[in-house]
Amino acid sequence: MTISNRKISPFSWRSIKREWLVNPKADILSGAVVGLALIPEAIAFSIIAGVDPKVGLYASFIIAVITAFLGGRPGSISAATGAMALLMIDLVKDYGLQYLLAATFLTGIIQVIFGLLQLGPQMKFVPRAVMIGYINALAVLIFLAQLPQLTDVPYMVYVITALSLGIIYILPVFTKAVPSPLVALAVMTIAAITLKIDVPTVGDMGELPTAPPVFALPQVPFTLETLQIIFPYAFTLALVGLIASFLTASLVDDLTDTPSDKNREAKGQGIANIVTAFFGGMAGCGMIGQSVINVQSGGRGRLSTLAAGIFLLIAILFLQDWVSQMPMAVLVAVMIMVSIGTFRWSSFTNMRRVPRSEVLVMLTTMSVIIFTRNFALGVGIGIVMSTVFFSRKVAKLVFVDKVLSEDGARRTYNISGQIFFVSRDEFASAFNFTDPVESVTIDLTNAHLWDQGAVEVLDKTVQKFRRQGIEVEVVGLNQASSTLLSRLATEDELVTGA
Amino acid sequence: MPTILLCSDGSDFAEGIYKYGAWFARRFQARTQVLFVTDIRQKAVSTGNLSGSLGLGASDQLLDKLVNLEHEKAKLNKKRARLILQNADQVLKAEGVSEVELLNPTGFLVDCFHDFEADANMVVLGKRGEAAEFASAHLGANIERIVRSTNKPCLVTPQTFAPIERVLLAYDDSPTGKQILKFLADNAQGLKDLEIHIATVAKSESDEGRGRSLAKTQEQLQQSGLTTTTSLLTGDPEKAIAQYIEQHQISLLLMGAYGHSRIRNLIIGSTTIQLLRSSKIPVLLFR
Repeated sequence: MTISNRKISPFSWRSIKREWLVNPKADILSGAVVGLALIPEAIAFSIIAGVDPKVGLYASFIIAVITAFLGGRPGSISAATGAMALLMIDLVKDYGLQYLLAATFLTGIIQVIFGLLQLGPQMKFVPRAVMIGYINALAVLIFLAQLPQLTDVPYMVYVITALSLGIIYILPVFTKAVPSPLVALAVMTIAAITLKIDVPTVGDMGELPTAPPVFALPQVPFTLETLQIIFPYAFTLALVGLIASFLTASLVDDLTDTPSDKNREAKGQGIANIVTAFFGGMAGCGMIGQSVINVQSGGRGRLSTLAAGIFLLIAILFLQDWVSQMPMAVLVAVMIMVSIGTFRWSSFTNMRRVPRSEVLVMLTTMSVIIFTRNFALGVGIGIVMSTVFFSRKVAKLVFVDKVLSEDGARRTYNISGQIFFVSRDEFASAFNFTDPVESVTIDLTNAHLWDQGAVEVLDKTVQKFRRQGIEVEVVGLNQASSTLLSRLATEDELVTGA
Repeated sequence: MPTILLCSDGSDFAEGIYKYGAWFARRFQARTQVLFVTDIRQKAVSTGNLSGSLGLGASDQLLDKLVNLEHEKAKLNKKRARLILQNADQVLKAEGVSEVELLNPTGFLVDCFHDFEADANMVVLGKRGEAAEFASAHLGANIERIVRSTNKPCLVTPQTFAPIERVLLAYDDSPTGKQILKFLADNAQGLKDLEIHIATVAKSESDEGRGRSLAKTQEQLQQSGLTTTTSLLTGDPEKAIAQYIEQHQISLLLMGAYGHSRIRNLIIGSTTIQLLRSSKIPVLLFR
């Protein structure tokens, strides 16, 4: 009997089904928890960015729905985020909402290009210490963004914030069946209305959505000048959005022990941002905190992300009267919880165990981001520092073993390690040019020459020995090193020897 | 030596699978493989936490928790798999099958199935599985997909075993029908003591073409040394066959899995599905 030649590859359909229908019940339930939890966050992030709450709410709905279909990481949650909102403040202040929408569109385009160029795997160049610094900075900035809501306000604001935090953290001790932040929101909103407590409410912060989002082009002049204004913002937004989304994706990878497709994720994020721009939403990206909540609540498949978006829209349309009367103080409490949940506490408790250079990278990344409010700059500096530290560590691993022949006329240097621009000095200092010997052998069997710097230092070493009247022989070069030598070396022995 | 692949899920139907599998293994002098697939979806554990709140170090704690939960669950799953396969081994050995191979991959049955099916000559499945123990008139979740995707004869077994004495071949002139005849002829040695009934459902009793092909079929099987009786049935195929099974106390039904309609070429014929659902005896399906 022959093996059946199976018709139409059912594989794609099967994989779609698996990503969507692994555990529909749990997915919808966790989607509901996340969707409702997204409301206060979307409002809070809109306020950070300086736009009406509806901008963030529309964005969260659209981004969640589109990434559910097109994202590369089933089960992760993307929506309007703090990291992105923090980058938009100046743009909104100086040019207004329409330029933000244009920038959001451009952000999406850049992210799609990133995905098409398959640059996803290049994220490995962002070291873990930088990632953690980034997350911590994000947590701190979300917290700092709440402070304006807590300064120069009636004392009742503090009371409500404190009570809300109490509900959020203490309720789960008694029951984990209901989302405690939502209970806090409901209880405090009802209390504020019935007791007629006069505190700032969400309605005071700007317009809330009254209808599903509608299609509209960003109202900006299509000129080079516009591009000059929005491009720097869009570029930073695109990179930061991708870093956050990839970070979220790998976190969910770890939590669920399943793989994700980074290039697909980049394209999905990009398309989500492009579409959001046309429906009056701000740029967004993967959300670490909400994705953790999603997995914690049992969400695993794409359905959970879709459900989150849909629940968000339904809830906001049906509950808008209530939402507008929510005290800002509860929102502040929810955001403080998000900030605390995002912060990698272990990066500080582990500080003594982690290599010092990595702690330094983490702290530098974190503080650069906090003080400059520029995520891209912080991450860039972090990457450069890590690279320098790493090359220094590798450079230290140059070992030299000196052996004198029995008759005392020949010295052999056995070199092992990586010879490159950083390890030149370690290499050069190993040789004794005043040695009273007739000839010297440099054995490079266990070494590798990496660049011009390495060839130069070897050249010079040979020269110096020859000036002392000592014959030099270089042996044991590996193929790559000898190719490099024959191209770059000036000393005849090295060229012919190669 | 032919191979019979028994797909078990440890449900109430497992016993039927092993016993019928053993019956065929003895008859065909085949070796048996018992396949129990640990479903990869069982990995998705729930923390039962819908609080939606995040404490300090939330993701690290959640990771720890999930790793521990999945560890426990995977351990239980492994233990369960071992017990199920041990039980299969015992039942099969007690039934007099000497060569038993136990297989326990992790994944989806529908995916893994093809790796093992390729070497088998016959596949045995329970009519339903652990996911559907209550709804008695329904078929299991995997059965249709597996029958659809394999070209090996598939035995679909009921929950309890009854000795096989009378076999009914629901015959039509399709290539599948010819394949069933070939199967019977090839394995005639092991089936000699059985009463083999061949029935064809025609539109009317005067269908001469059907009658002739029935006679030819009988001749063919008798040449290979089998005892056969033939009948020409009329009416709705599903009802006619079900009635015949009842009347003659048939204990095994052989039929094609395909519908006649070309449009249905990719799915199992609807008559097949109806018969599979309603019958209380094992059905051996061919494609």
